[in-house]
Amino acid sequence: MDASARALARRMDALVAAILDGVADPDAPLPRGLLAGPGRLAIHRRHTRVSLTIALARTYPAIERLVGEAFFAAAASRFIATEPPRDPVVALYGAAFPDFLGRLEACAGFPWLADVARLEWLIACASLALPPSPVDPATLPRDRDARARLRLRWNNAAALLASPWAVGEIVAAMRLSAGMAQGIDLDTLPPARLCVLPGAAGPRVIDLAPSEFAFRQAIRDGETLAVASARAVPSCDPEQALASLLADGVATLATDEA
Amino acid sequence: MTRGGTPASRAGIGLRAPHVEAVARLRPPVAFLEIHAENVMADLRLRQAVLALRRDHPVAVHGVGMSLGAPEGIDGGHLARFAAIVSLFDPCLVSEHLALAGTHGVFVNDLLPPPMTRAALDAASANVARVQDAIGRPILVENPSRYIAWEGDEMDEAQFLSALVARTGCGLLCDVNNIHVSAHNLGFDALAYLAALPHAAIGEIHLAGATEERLGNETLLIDAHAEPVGDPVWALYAQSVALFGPRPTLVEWDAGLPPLDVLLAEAAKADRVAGAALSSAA
Repeated sequence: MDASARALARRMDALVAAILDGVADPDAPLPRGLLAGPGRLAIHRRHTRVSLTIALARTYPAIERLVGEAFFAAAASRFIATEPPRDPVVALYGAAFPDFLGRLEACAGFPWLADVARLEWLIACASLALPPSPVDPATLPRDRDARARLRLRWNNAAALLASPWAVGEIVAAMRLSAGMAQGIDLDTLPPARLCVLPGAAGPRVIDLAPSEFAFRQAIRDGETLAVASARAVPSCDPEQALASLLADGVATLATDEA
Repeated sequence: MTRGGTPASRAGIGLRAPHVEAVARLRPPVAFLEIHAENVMADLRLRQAVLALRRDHPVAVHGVGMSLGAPEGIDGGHLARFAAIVSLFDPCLVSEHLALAGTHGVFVNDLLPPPMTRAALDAASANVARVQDAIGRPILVENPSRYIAWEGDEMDEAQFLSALVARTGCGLLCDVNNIHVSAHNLGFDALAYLAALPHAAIGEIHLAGATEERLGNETLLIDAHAEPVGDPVWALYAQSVALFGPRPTLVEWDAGLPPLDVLLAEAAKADRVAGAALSSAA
């Protein structure tokens, strides 16, 4: 790279940095060599802030309603400045937002907020994917031992989320109504054990019993059906858990055996 | 530049997800549908829906994230995804922006105009050539909208684009609204700019609405794609058609997306304006 190419690279790096710094701090310095006052660069800063905030609000509508538009916008600005997109596909932006919320001091009184955001991220991912096809149980081996050794292949369009908070109820309530999630008693509702996957009419959020969640977790982690079934008992019928998993298309038949 | 059905030199529309169902149902008689490559990279439902529409309409693929102005080169992973989308859709037109979308793997979700220097031309030429090698066909490069300029420019934008065409064999996507916006904001003559472009290389025209914004004592134009095409842009479009003839023309609308019929009316108006301009020129 010659001197003029290096100078160009420095100038472009400074422009990108000035835009991202300016998302959260309008007084951030301008890059050298720019023939424009701060007002003109502010157009680019605003576009970055507004377009990415809209993208985050599209992914996290329940969070925006829970914290309010003004707080959400301020939090989004800080997030954009500190964790800007690493991919030009804007639909993929925001995976780190739940952890970011979890670290925000202002949100410390709402320990469930990050898990609500984690569920919304999984819902957003499921909204982009095609619904999986159900698996015919008849395609599984009939032989008992072969079946026990079988490892199913987890469908990456499906995800599991466990939380000590009833985040499924919170997201459903906040997405269905613009009001606060009044009437949700987090102290009495059971912890969330959820499976999120694409459905024909949009993302599905399936509430699972702890034992069925453990069964699916074992399948996702590559365990054999025998191990997964052992984790499902005593409160769940492994055959029923398997039938439901296959019907949801959450895992498919893999060829490899233990 | 054209495969997958050559679009007539008439108007098409930028297809956004909220309009997909209506387009599938109504099959409007537009010349083509243009999709953003990045929108169908992650969204497999949208991808499937647009592939179905492709049976009735030529589809153009327009990239917004390749960062053709990046001095360090473009991202290989993104280029591979872009090439896969082009291969899948076999589009009638493929285009990208002369812009920086980010540097070193950090993106700003915006299209930043590069300086008009020989070093920037070298970088853009290498990037355009790499894209064209990857997809096996020339692309159309779109002129950016500008609010800022840099010290030390060594050529104007028309010269820059002409050199890019000569070096790489790419074509041009002449965004008439961007010319209008940049000419207003930076104080150059839009008609002189149009006249200086290599007309034979222009393979598509974009139209959109610009939004006025006060900044201190001046009024700037913002390339917001949030309102109907303004009268000055219709006039510049007519002058473009009179100058270099009709081209496949796209009406873009992104923010505050109106009902489909509003967008279709804008496309129909583009056809009328082009027809009138050709009649006047004859």
